[in-house]
Amino acid sequence: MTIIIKPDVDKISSRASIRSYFVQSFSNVDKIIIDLSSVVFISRSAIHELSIIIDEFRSKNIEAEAEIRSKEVIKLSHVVSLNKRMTNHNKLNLRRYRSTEDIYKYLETV
Amino acid sequence: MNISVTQPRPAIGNQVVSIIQLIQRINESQDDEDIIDISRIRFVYPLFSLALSCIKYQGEYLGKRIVYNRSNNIDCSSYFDAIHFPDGLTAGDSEGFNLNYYHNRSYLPIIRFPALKDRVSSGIRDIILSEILSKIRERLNLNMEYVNAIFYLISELTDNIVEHSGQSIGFINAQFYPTSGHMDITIIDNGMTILGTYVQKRVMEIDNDIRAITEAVNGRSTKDRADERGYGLITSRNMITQGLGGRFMLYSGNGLLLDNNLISLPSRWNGTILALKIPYNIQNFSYIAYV
Repeated sequence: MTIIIKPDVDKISSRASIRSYFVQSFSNVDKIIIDLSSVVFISRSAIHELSIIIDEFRSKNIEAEAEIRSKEVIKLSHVVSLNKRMTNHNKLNLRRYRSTEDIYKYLETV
Repeated sequence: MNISVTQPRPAIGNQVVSIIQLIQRINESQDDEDIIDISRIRFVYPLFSLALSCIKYQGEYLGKRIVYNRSNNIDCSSYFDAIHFPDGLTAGDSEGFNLNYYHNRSYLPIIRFPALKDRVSSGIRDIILSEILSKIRERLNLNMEYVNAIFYLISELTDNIVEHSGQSIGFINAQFYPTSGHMDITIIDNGMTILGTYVQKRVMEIDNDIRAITEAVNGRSTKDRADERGYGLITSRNMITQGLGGRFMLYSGNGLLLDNNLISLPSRWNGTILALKIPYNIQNFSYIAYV
């Protein structure tokens, strides 16, 4: 049996949002189509969660694929699939102060 | 105890000092109920106004009841009403959510969003964040790169609350400054700190707030699954500070990260405060380079 899962929103903001579409039982299902054709914004976390869910289905021999139309969602999906390492470009400085007043004096300058 | 709040200056550091001092005074009070007197406040910037509204949840950690006194504050009373201070504007599961009242305003109100992971909460959250994005887009006439960046930031940073705070609600507000060409967005939860999340996941070598913030903004995930990435904070911070030339403040437990500076503070915030200062309409900005 093939089932189609189609979110009823055009923006998906969280991992939990994506997961919430997959709480049902998928016994007797051999193909799942996740129809994101109406989704124009999706968070990086959500698209990453979706890739994990699809991998999990495939590991259970259930065919799974996402249909995406938005160019931005396609672009983000591609970037997430690269699983690239991000580095912190800004070196952090630990500032030590002797007193609370010294902390205030500093904060009042920034 | 009656705690009188004075008007903080606009800089992020000044607002943080006001928050620290307020928490200290509540900590010092021996009373079961503290009255926060805001009658002398004439204008509130979003970081301070949202922290002020969440002080009542911070009081609960001390077993205290916090009430607000804004009587005789003629100058600011209608503004406090308009921003839905202190409880915030939200949506029920059967009613719509719109910010039409704020169409031509220079601010968005305090907005309370559900932070639970179930289908109903997730659906309401998606609707609320969608409406926030639409209003910011309309108000500032942003190009698509910016719209994508703003959606990226608010979705990643609110998702951290959903995934890690252990709270059922989170808060967000915003203010726009057309003259200087930037916006302030503040996102707050009153739950588990970043350190608390590491401790809960038994990452035992991380044992203080400064270390926890350092690890978090360097992309060390607290999630169980090895294939999940803890990049929400690092990418958001890089995008704001490097891509957009803005400012990023994170206050969690006793730890403060302001721009590149880490400071151990004398007052504790149970949860996490994020304050973003985002210039808009920066040329040649591409959000995807920071994802």
